[in-house]
Parts: sequence; C-alpha cells; structure tokens
Amino acid sequence: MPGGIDPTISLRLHPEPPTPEELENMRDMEPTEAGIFLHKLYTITSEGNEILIKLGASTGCRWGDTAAAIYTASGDSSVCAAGLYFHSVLGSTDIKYIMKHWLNEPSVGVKPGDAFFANTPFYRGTHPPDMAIYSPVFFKGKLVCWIGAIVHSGECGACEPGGMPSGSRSMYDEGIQIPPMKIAENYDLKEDIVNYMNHVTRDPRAMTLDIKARMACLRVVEKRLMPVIEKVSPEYVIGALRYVIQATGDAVRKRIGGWNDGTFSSSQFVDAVGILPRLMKASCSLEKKGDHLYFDFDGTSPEVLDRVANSPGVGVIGVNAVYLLGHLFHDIPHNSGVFEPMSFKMPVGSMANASRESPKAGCAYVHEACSLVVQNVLNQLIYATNPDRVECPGNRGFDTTSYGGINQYGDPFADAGAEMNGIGFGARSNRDGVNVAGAYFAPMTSEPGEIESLESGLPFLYLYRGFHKDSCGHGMYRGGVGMDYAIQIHDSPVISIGSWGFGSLITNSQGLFGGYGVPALPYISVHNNNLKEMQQNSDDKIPGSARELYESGAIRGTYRWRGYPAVADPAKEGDLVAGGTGGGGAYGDPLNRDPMAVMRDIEEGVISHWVARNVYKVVYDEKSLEVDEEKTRKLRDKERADRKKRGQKYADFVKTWLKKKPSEEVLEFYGDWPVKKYEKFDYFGTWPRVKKSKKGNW
Amino acid sequence: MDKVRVTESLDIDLDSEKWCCHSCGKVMNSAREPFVKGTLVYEKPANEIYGDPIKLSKDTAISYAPDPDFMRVIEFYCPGCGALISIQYLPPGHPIPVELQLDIDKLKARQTKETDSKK
Repeated sequence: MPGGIDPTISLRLHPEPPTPEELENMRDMEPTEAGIFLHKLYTITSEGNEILIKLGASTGCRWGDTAAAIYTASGDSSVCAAGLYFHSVLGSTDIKYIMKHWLNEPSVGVKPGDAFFANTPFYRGTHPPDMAIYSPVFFKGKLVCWIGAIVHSGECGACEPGGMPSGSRSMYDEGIQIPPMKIAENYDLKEDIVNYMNHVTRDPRAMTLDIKARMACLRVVEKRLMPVIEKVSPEYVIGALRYVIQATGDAVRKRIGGWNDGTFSSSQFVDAVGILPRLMKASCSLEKKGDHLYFDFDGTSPEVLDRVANSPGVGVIGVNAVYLLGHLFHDIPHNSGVFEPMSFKMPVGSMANASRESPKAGCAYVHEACSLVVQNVLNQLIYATNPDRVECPGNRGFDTTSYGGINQYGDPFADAGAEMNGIGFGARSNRDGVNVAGAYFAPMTSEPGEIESLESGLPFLYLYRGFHKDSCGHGMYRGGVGMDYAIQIHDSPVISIGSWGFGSLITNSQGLFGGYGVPALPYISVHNNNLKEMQQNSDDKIPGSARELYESGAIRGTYRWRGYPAVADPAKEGDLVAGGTGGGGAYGDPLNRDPMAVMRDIEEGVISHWVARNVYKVVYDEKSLEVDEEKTRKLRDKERADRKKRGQKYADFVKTWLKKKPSEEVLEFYGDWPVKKYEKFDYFGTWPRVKKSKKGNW
Repeated sequence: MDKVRVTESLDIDLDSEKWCCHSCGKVMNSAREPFVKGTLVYEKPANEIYGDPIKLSKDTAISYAPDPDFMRVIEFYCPGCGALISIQYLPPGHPIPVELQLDIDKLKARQTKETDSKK
C-alpha cells in the first residue's frame, strides 16, 4: 500500500457490522423514544445545512448542493439534513479511511477539535469539486460520533474553470484531489492549508468562504450535540446512531418483501465521452428475490483511460441515495442502512467501476445514467404493488454553463451555473411532473438561484429564464418542463464559458408505460451579435425564450451549435450563450391525456401548439383554446388504428432492426457491440455463491 | 384466479398465464416470455415527437430530436386497440431489453395466499 493509497476503502459503503458497544447500547432502545431523539439530531443537521447555504460562496453552496450529517464512530451515515443525500452517504468511506489510517497514526491522530478535508474521487466516489470536511465528536475523551459538512464548491484548479473539465485526459488534469487530511486542530483552522488551496484554484474567495462555511456548520452541529450527549449519555447516542441504521435496513427490507419477485432490466445511454460526441451505455439487470435486491451492471461500457467518462463504483451506488431516500423510501429515515437489503455487482474496468487514474470529472454523467437504469428497473418492479410510488425520472443531463475569468469587480471567479438546479421532474402514475422543480440530485433543497443575485456576482446579463417549452416528455401525465436561459457576457475583461452535462444528441430520461422521454437539448453561442444595439434601442424583438431566440432569427450574429458538454472557450463582451435544462419523462399513452389539460399546458407556456396537434392529437381553436371533443376523439381513434396498421409483428421487426448499427465513430468507446461482457466484478453487499475479494482494485 | 395489473397498460391473466392489454383485454403472448413479443412494433421518426430541426443560420441548425446515429424511438402497441404500451429509446440495432419478467409461479402463489386470506 504505497503512501496510504487504499483500494479497499471504497468497497465499504454498506454499513459496518455493529460493534459490541453499539449492540449493548441499542439492546433496550425504545422505538418511540429513539424516534423523538433522532428527530432532535435531524433538526441539528438541518440547522447545520442552513448555515452552510447561508455562509458559502460557490454556486453549489448557495443554491443547495450541500449536506450536513452525523456518522457513527466507525463512519456509517446515520442522520442527515434533507438535501443532498449522496453527499451524506458517501462521506462514510472518507471517515472509514480516517479511522483506518489516521486514528492510531501518531503524526496525525484523531482528537477533539480536529477537522479533516477530503475530495478525492477514489474514496468518496464523486468528482473533485465535491469537497467535504469531517470532525470527530468527543465527550469526556470518548469518540461518540463523526459529523460532516459536504459542498460542491465548483472550482478545484482543474485544466478548465468550473471544476468539471470536459477535456481532461487524466486524473492529474482535474485539480486538487485530497485524501482525508487534517485541516484544523484544537478548533483552529490551519491557515497554511487554506492558503495552499487558494493558490492552486481559480476562485480563492469562494474556496475560503466555502471552507469556513463548512467549519461553521461543523462547529454549530458540535455545539448543539454536546448538551444532548450530556443529557442522554454518550452510550445512548452511540446506540441510537446504529439503531436507526438497522431500523432503516429492516424497514426497507420489509417493503421490498412485499413486492413481486422477478427480473427487470434497463439500458441507458450517454452521448459524450469528454468533448467527443460518442455513445456509452449503462446497463442494469435487477433480480428481486424475497426481501433483497440484486443489481448487476454487467453490460455497461468500459472505462476510458484518457477521457472523461468514468466513475468509481462507490459513487455509482452512493448516488442512488438520491432516488432511494428522496423519492422511493422518502418516508424512511435517511441513512446508509437503505443499502443493507441491496447488493451491487460492478464490472471491474467498466465506466461504472473505473480504476484510480482515469479522469473522473465527468463521473456525474455515469452516475446519472446508472441511477436512471436503477430507477427504471425499480419502476417496473413496484408498479403492481405500489403504483402510487412510480415516478418517471426527471432530467439527468445537468445542461448548465461552466465559466471562469475576471468578474466585474476585477476579481478572479470560476464556477458552474446554477441552471442545473432547474430541471423538470418526472410524471407519476396519477399526476404531472413538477416544472423547474430543482436539481435531480437535491430534490428538496436546491434551486436555480435568483437572476438579480446571480447578476450581482457574475459578469452576466440574463436575457431570459423561464419554462423551457416542450422540454418535457409527453404522455397521459407529462413530465415537468425544465428551464431555458440565455446569458450575455457583460462587463468582464477576460472570460471563458462553456457548457457541462450531456443529452444534446439523445433522450437522457425516458418515460414509462407509453410516455415519451425528454427531447435532445440544444446549447448554442452567438458571437459578433447585434444584441447590445437592440437593447439600446429597446427593441421589442429581443427574444424572451429559447424558442423565440431559435425561431425568430431576431438576433443577428455568428451562431455556433455547441451542445452539452462544450469546452470553455474565450468569450467577449456581448457574446450570448443559450440553452436549457430538460424536463421529466412522461407516464402513459399521450392519447389518454385529458384534452383540457393539453390546453392548460398551452396557456401556461409549457407546450407548443405543434405538440398539442401532433403528439396529443387534440383538435381545437388556437385563439380560444376551445376543444372540439368529437373531432379529437375521432383523430385519436384514427391514430390508434394507424398504429395497428404501421406496427409490425415483433419477430418481423427484430429481423430488420438488429441489422442496424451506429457508425464506428459513434461506437469508438462503447465496448463490444451490442453488449460488453465482463469476467471480473467487485461486489458491494452480499451476493449468492460469491466470496468477496477484500483486495480492491486500482 | 384473477388478472393482475402489472403496468399501466398490461395485466397478467394468471389462469392462462398470458399478458393482456389493460385497455381492451386483448390476450397477447405467454407471460413467461417478454411482453414485447406479443406487441406490434414500430420505429417512430423522432421528429414526429420532437419536431423538425430549426435553422439558425446558413450552416447552423439545432434539433430537439435525438440524433438518429445515436438513438431511435421504438414504440410497442397493443395489437387489439393500438394502445401505446411501452417505448424504448435505443441506438439503432441495439437488442430490445426485457423490461420486466415476473416470477409467475411466485405471483400465482401470492395471489392464492391473498385470496385465501380474504376468505
């Protein structure tokens, strides 16, 4: 193990076995009393999370890409604020690293008042901008628990501004990646370490403020915890933190036991390998057996050693905490116990379980594709017994900007756009999805920020932001729409701007049971344009939405299709970039949508007349929006009859379908066509007839 | 034994062990094989759902429809009533995934147990 690099830690995402002390302390735990006590701990983490959001400076911190959590002394995520659940869950592996490597190391140690910084993808499984600080909580010299404050800080000194370079060719292009390292002792922040970080990243102001926000969060959480520990005893706290993890596992297991046994599978695609438009696949087969779920990712595309298309396995699994804790099991305590009745088989050398040195800046794309297949197979599984919990996925492509340069105050800045926090959520089995609901990854706490606030801190002028018309999937219940945006560069002497995300060439979030998925999502730039002139003349032809910009041709200039992702390019005063996030997938046959709901969608600017006529097949008066019910019924009946005419028998269809194939260029990194098969796997959780390796992989 | 609803648009008739359309009751194929084998299948041009490309300038256009070299839209219809049962977004020529395959024996046992407990 050269230099403490440890390939086994990330295999330990599942909860540790209870220690004898934990077993002893949870033996007589009374459930109601424990529930009230754990709610108290939840309110403490919630206060911590609010502090993070209020004090931080990066886009992620200000708009909810944050988590505050309490961990057991051995590192398992136990209690966390509502927010970004995977940040909380994935902190487990960082703390397990500290406990294994630093607790008894005399030159480091773990003492009251310590704090450890960590952001390496190798342990916590996400990209380097996701930075965490953890502190041990001692009571009278005894380690009772750990607390964590985690934030996506945006800028980390990578080869492109904004922390998530599309063009990186190795992990060493991706900025600081620090394994758990002591950043504070005896409650004093080590200014020399903060100073180092400020010297190797582009936005020292945001870096410093985010670090101090984390420290403030941790200090307040510790301050609130101490009297609680004193009141109930450290032993009770130790028991309760393990108790809730086990109770969560038991509750999830019980619910799974009520579902039907069977096998389910889904494939999901990504259309970007770094800056190249190439196809990659996430594949998942689920076997539900009794009260356990077995997820098998065999068939997923291989890792790409010199391009952005890879994730550590632990990140792929941990990110599913968003869907599992935020949606499917929202009514069960939020901690890593949710994974106890679930096991994951991850192919070694796949993009979903990549080696240490491959670039990880785009690991979020892999996370999204892999979380989509998990949501897809679970939707298929649960409908028969829990139809009310079925939910189509919201847009997973991020589809935001990334930028850096000198701002209007003459200060350096770099970050990613808050627009990623404005996706539409998916439809449910009984209602439409929510428009511009938040970020997929932080469904309850994220928001895209206020334009005035963003403009005051960035050299941007927003031309518009609003409902991204037709960006949802269409169906009996439609997905919520995403958000469009256009940003004009304003008052910056030096700036580069690009885009981050994927989904400009594919549908990234599918619908369910006959509902359509989301469209491909354009992202463009307009250089040498006449927009300033139009603004000076108060021209009423200035576009107010993406559709107006694209369709009116009112702005003259040099248009470039850039797509998601696009490397940050130098831009100059007045240049315009425009795009939009996607909406959610739809549920059910669009011909079953109430025509009046279609008219309401038009009134609210959610869909176009073209969609109402051509997808929903509604006959109506475009001025009054009065529906002709009889003609609509006839048109829909005709469409159903047409489907029967044009549809082929499955066997006939497959004969010609399977002869097709994407171009060799598109498949450059895909792996064996059509299905890549692996021989070596890592197992997270138990797997029948498999003895797990404890060695881990590089 | 009753029909069991397993998706928005599909039932399984446990006596005959067949997939059935939930809308019209059309009996399809064996429930022990993928339901898609009993459907009518059509590759729908993506621009019929997402619209045609929009030209921004002489040599620049954008599209809300997926690029056909990356992804196609496959629709599965009920052969009885034309209901849209499922949609798959796949690269051209990619095998059709088996979305769901329930353990029929366990499903029947479960239904029997539930029926007995109601008695």
